[in-house]
Amino acid sequence: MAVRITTYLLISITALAVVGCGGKPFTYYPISEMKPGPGVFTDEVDGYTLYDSSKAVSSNDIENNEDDYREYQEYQKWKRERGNATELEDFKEWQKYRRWKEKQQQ
Amino acid sequence: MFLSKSSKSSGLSLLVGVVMVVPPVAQGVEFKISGQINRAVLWADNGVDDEVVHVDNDNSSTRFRFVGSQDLGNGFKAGIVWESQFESNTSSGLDIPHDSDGDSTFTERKLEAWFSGGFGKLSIGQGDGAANNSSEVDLSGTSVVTYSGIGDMMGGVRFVTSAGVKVARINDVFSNFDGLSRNDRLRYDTPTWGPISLSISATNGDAYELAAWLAQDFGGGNKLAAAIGYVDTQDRGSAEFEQWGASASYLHSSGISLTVAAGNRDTDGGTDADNWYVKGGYKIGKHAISLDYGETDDLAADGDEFSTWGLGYVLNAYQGIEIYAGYRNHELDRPGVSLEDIDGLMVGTRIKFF
Repeated sequence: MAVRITTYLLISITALAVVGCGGKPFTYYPISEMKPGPGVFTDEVDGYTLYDSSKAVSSNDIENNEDDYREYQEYQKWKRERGNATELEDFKEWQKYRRWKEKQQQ
Repeated sequence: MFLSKSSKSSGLSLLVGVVMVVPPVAQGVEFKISGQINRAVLWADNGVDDEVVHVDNDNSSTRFRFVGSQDLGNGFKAGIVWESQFESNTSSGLDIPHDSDGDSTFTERKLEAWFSGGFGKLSIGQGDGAANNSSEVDLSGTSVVTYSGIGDMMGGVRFVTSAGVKVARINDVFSNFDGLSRNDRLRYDTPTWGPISLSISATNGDAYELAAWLAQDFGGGNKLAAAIGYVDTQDRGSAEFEQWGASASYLHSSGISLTVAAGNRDTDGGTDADNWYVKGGYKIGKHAISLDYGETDDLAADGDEFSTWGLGYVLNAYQGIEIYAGYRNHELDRPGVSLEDIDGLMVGTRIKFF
């Protein structure tokens, strides 16, 4: 008797809810599964990612960027030359500073 | 016989068909690890003896899991699930007195591969049968310590007479008739039609399971989840039976929830057993509490009337950390014998590390 009542209650609630009240589907996680959501040691949802191909840089990516690498090498050369020019300017500034200091001491 | 040989052949044909039409271009590949530890202290009292035992809480066992998936393009995906549980002194397996650490068990939960697409999802290997979890839908937030599967708490403890004669375990006289759990099977899940989806699976012994699932969000914190499952064991196991189980859980925006479950098992040449269960819950902030009651009749023997009631409390203390406490009383009325009640109090924590 109790089983029958519970069953009818179960079916009635479900039918009324589905037919009468609209709403949208959601993903129900059975209680036999681990609780959804992040764990203690990671903010990632549903596990720590050991591998994700969308984040990996493949050798294919590198091979297809030889032009980029040549441009990078030219940039490094430009930077080194500019670095020498910058040092020369610093040296001239230092010479100015030394002359000013000598005048102060006279 | 519901599943004829031609039906089983159709299942295999579907699997082959999926493999044939899936395009070979591999795209997004993802591989993850996750796991949890669930340990508790359990006080068990069978009316003659009582014991404090340190257990792995079988409501949600200690386990780890690897999942992987690959996007095959055109809406197709393939994946694997490898999940194993590693329990030291499982709460559902012990009787009292219990004065050792018991066995450590490393057991399979899921070892399956799957394919999904517009056709639905096809899973092969060890995993949930179609009707597994159909009697256990629960939105109360206290299922880590109390749910319709009340035997996970201390189902191995035996009822005893006042003289200490052991009669039957809790799990012998109780069942929520929840499918065939996890088994080696071929399972098909339909695409969802709104909130509804269907499942079917076939396993060894020609046993099969069917289920229907519903999950509806009405907004504002109001949700309904429900399921119904059917099992025919055919040649599987020592006794053939047909079984159905169903459950529904409604969570209101106020935090109040109502969960009900019912089921029946008709065993060939044996008993016709019934089960029903009801649970009221309340969630507020990080806290969830519940009170439940259930009965199983005529499972182990005609005339058996098993009843249980329980209280549960769960604190979602921090991301991935739950602390819980639960109390349960178990009573068995068996014609011709007077048995002591079994009481249990469990306090523990479940920590999901990934």
